[in-house]
Amino acid sequence: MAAAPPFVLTDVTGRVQRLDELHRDGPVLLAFVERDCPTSTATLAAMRDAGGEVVVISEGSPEAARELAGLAGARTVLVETAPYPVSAAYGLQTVPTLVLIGPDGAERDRVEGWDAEAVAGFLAAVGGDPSRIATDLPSMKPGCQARNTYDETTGMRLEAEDRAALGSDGAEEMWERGWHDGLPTVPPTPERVRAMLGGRDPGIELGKVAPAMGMLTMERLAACAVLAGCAPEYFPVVLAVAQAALEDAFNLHGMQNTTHPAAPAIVVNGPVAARIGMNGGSNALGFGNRANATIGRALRLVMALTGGGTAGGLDQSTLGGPHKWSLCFPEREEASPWAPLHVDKGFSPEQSTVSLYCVEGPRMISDHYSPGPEGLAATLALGLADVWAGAWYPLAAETPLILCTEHAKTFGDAGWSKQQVKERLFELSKRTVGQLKASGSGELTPLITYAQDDDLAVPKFLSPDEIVIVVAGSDAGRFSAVLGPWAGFGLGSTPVTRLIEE
Amino acid sequence: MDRYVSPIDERTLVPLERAPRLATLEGAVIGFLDINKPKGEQFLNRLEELLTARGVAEVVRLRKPTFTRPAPGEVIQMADRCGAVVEALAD
Repeated sequence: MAAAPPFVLTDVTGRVQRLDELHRDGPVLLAFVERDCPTSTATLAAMRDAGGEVVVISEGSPEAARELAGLAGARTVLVETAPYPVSAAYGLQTVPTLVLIGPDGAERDRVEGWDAEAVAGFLAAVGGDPSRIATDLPSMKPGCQARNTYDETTGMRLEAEDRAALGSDGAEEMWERGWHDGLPTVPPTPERVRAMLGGRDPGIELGKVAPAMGMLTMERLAACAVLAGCAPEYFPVVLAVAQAALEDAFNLHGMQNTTHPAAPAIVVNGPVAARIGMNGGSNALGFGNRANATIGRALRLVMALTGGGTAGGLDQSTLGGPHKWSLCFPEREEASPWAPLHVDKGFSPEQSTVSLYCVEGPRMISDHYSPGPEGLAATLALGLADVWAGAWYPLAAETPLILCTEHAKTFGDAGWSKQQVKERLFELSKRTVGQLKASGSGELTPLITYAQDDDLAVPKFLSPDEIVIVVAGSDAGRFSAVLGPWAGFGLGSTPVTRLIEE
Repeated sequence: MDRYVSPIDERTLVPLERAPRLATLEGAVIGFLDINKPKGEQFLNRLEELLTARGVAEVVRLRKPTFTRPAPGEVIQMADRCGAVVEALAD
């Protein structure tokens, strides 16, 4: 007998099923059915309690397949959607069609419609108990026309009708496909993706995304932006974010594989932030603003889906963190006493940029009592000293310090430049070897050993410029935050700033 | 045609073939890829002892410059003369 056409389909629980695995341990009976066909539903109901290796293949939407799963009992139900390629490969004319596959993968026999005698023989061949077939069907009952025999448009229309009838808008299907990050996603229909692309060439290749090395095309990026909930006007920012993340220096490969809770933090600068309604004020670091939340999330979906960094799969972070969904915010430039981040980096104030850092979750530093800049700097330095681990010296990686507006104003009113603040924090976050030993953790970086002089002062950072100051937050409240970086000494991730082309 | 635009590069979903297994360790050349995490060599040293006791002819010690990035091409090329390579993650 001829080999049965191989296939890979997803079942209603989202598991991927391959034909060669289904028949590995013995013969299997494939039951092609369709929800709107009475003979199909009657066949499933009749066979439900008769056991045996029977795999149901539902022609139609996932919603229809789920409904059939209710009739199929414990059986695996595979979802075959328009244009029904598996049905076509099997040359289906009718549903139900039962196809008996031997352990060698060859088709042994098939029957169309309901035929009680044939079904009894098939069930016995796959280890079932024919005496348990429900007996309220006649001995023969013709089936219905298989959907793969319709033209594609008709198939799509039938599925749209299925979904409308079953009250679904495709959201459930996103869970089944695995196109999510643990939160609901927006189905990336061709219309939505086209709107997101805004005329860009969908085939442009932006680069491979580690660790699975999936090619990120412009179209896949747009699909991720749709899934994330982005509005099309965010797409130039999403594109710059993706391009920055794909630069070798940013090292997505390591970030996706580390057990550290490393994730991208995205700082947006320039006029684009206000234009697309981003929030640099109250709750800037989360939650509640669509642009902040979905731009960061679009990158997460690129990493998880195109890059294969799924939680518990190739991403094996020990604890992860809520920042891994999205950590994206604009600098609140108008509330800062200093030039914004992108101007420090040589861009003009009229240009817009994204700056990406690889960080753990935000760690708050409160100082409500220091009357002047010196005390405030001492408090902030305590927070910086504690990043990664209190005894981990030097840290040696760029570390974003998100100054709340009141803290920034305290420095600004006292006439401190941003550089002065950084230099003071650099000094105040130093610790002596004796202090580090006393911390008791014993976790010193390889550069620092217990043999060294107790009075030796060790800096947390290699230079003041490793402290990256960004101003954000509401007018009230003296809560700043530090975004602790991933591995230092150039081993981890190098921050990347990129111009947004609008 | 799918009803949705996929974010996934379908080529990444094709399972990779496993390399053929060694029939015996007797006389084999085995490579260890040390990913350069602290104390990783302690584990690999012990593994080398155990494999040598089982007849392995030579253990080739390969080392990534850092665990945070992929192994450079020259390290991977050094593995060419090994019958099998133990590539383990740390933590």
